[in-house]
Amino acid sequence: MSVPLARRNVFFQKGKLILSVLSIGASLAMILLLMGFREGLYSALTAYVDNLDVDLIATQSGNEGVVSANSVLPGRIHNDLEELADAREAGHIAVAGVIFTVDEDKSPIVLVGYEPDSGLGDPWNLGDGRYLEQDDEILLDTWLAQRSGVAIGDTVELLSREFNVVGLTKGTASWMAPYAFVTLPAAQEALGLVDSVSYHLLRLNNRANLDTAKDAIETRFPNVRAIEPDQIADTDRRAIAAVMDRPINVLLFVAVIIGVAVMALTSYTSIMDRLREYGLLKAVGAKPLRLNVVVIQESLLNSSLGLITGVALAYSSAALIMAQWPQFNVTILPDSVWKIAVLRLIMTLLAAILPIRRLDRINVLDVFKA
Amino acid sequence: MLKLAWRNLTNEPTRMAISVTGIALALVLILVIAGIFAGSEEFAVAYIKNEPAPIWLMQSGVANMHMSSSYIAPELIIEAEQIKGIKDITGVLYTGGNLESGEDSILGYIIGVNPQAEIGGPWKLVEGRQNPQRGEIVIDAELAKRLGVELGDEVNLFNTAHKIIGLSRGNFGIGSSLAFINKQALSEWMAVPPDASSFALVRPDVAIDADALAARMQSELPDLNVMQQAEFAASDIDLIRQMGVDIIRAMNLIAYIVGLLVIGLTIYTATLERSREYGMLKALGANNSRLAVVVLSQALISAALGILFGAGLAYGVAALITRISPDMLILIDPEYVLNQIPILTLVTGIAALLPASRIANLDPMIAFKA
Amino acid sequence: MSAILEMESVSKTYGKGHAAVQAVDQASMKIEPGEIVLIMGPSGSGKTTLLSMAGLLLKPTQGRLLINGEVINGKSQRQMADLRLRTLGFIFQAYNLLSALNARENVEIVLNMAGNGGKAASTYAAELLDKLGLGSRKHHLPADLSGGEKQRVAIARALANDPQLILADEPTGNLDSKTSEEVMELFCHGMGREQGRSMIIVTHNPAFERIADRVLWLEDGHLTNGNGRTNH
Repeated sequence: MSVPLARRNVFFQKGKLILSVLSIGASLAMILLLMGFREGLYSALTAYVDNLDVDLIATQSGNEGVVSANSVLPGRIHNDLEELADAREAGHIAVAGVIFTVDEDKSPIVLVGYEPDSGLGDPWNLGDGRYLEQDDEILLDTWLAQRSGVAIGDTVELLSREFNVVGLTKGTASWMAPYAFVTLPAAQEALGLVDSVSYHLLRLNNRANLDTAKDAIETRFPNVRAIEPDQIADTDRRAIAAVMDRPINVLLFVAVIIGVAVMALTSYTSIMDRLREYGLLKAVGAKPLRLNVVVIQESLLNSSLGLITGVALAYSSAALIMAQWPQFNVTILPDSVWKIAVLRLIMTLLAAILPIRRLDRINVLDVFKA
Repeated sequence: MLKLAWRNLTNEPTRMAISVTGIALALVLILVIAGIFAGSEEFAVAYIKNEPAPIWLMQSGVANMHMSSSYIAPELIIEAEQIKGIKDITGVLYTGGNLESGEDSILGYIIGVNPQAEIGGPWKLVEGRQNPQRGEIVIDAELAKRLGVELGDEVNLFNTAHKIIGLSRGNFGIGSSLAFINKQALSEWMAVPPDASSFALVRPDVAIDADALAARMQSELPDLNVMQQAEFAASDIDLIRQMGVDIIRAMNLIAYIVGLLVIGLTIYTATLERSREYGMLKALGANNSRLAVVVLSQALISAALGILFGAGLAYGVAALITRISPDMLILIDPEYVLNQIPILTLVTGIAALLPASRIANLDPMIAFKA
Repeated sequence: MSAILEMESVSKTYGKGHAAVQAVDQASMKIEPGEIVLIMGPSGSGKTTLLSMAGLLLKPTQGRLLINGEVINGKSQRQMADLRLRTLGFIFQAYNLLSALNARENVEIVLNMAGNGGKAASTYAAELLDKLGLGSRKHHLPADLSGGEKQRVAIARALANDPQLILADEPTGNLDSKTSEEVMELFCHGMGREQGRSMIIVTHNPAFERIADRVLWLEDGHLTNGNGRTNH
């Protein structure tokens, strides 16, 4: 049709248009936020490994994650590993999940014990304060500290040991398990790791070959795996995903159905408002297909505006959420936006079913009513 | 006026059905997310609650099992055993690990138990036996189904094949699945002495008061934390609740906003299409507050129906999901459902504001227009 | 030249058995090219039902309907819709304009439906409105038009696809007397009667009698000519 009937109908009542677009936008934003929340959760949990500026991580065979596993390796193989890998720098860390309690507030944390002198394994973003120097010092995540009412200079208790808070880190927050840092000896003592560590970290010389290094290590120490940080992060993501994906998918499914319901409500309401007009068009000879096309065009227009609104809402909500509640990392990937755009199309078509069926049942004789 | 509100709503049953569904689904979202956390609480403390040990020992400074680490040196167990009034102390090792079969992998907790121990292993066995020797494992029957394995098959743990010698029940939950292997084998893996433990289960002698014994043990074992069973379970529940509170609040906020928009859209469009009728009522003498009551009543009726439908649907969804995926136990607390009513009532009131203000601005002369 | 519309003993019954209501009983009429035929009668006499059947909006329970000599009974909904679009035009008491479209677009849309799009359709719609004295109101929405203006837009719409027969249901029912006169004048001289376009007008307004070629009377479903004899 030359006359853009669908467009005219959609833009005719501004108040209703705003409400409809906002409703659709909110429901699409909800889906995007859930997807972003999932992505952010995984990113937050693998943040430490993602920011470890090393080439290889030696881990206990069969325990090939950091967050999702509890690797234990002898500390004494440190020099051997360095040599085998042709590493210019090597360090080791102890990692364990523990509960951080202040008064009645509990929070699971990932405790990392590292060697401040090695330059490896330390937090990548110190917000306030300074790095560790002593064994009775601790670096806490900024959000965790705020939540617990702890500041630099305070003393906190962890595994019955007292630590002075000397610094607050950034980029280490997570509602599930933020990171905290102590020295390696402090961690070993607290965790009962006698002469053991969790991982060895290796920075190779420029001339060193990664695969050669891996082979050398794994041949010499069959219960050790030498893995790149990416792979470790991937293992962690998959392990967490296997746990968290199911409940999140349930919520996503419900959110999608809500979106379809909102779109159906918008389309259906629009048809009902104009039932008489559609009846008139039918009376003067419009074919059902033509009217159905108008309905779908209206629905698509509403959902397109809703999509733009939803994406804007999602990104701004994500920024607001992360600013206000740093424990929530909401990462909305461009990929997710594409997925929502496609999903939106399917949802729109599904939502158009009821209004189209209603159109079929229009009584054209209503045009004769005064 | 209530009758008018009801008639206005039910005049368009399809639209009413869609909007009630939208509201219901928003409530389902709220209830399901809370239910997921409540369900995970159940599974998380299943081990603590079901093991017949009134008293639990753990590393000093540790008060949780979930997402936690604990180490008890062998000599401390020996010291504990000297205390009068104890029937026996059973030490178990506790760590995280990935159970793998083919491409499938499930993250869970691994408990190392002595084959001779009477307690500390699975409390409900459905098939096979429960005293794993080296290279053997007991897993949950539902977990076995998920991994596609049966009694006698092998699963990979720590890159080592373990033969399934027993299938248990009640150990398969999101993020808290349990598997039982030989303690000595696990101690080698964890690089701890074979008599070391993560947690120790204490059974008092007959006729010994557990409260008094626990107090006595705590005073005599300052290097350990002594907790009674209920207290220990409550501590883990508290932990999960604290973890969940932020997420639940965030999701609820989003769901309420969506619910508000759905109600707002429905009532606003219903009001728009009856502008003439409202104008006519005004011409006949109805004041704004009276008409606002009609609008508010419509909104409340929609919300009430949405709540009823949503609550029922949530229970249905929870039952269905748990049936399909037994590790995802969704527990919906009736009190929690009731607690949503005041909030949703408030949301409904807000949603009715725009249509009510529209009516307030209506010119009664509209009744006279052709 | 055959009659544009022929109804042969057409009846319409609603309901079944004891609850059956005979809205139109054995009505017959022929509308020749260029004729203006009035259908008058008391409220509830079946006028709208008769007009609906003539307008191919309602299928008769009995009898034959012919358009340009061709039997319409048995044609599909699609074919009937096409006939309505290209052969018939409608004018309603309540105007039935599309509220989101301006006056020109309300006329243009039926041209589009008949496969005429683009600038040509837009221009033609504007010309029709100019002829009806609505040149300066082309871009106004129905909400901004008076009753008379709305009815003229509806008339322009009815004429857009050059129909052979126009069906008008109480076209002046919502208009004041002066505007009604203007509309009647249009019906008399501006509807292409001289070119062979016919009109069936259902009305209570006796003033229409002066422009009509024939007056038919419908009472209790029975159609008679103005002098009480059954119409053939």
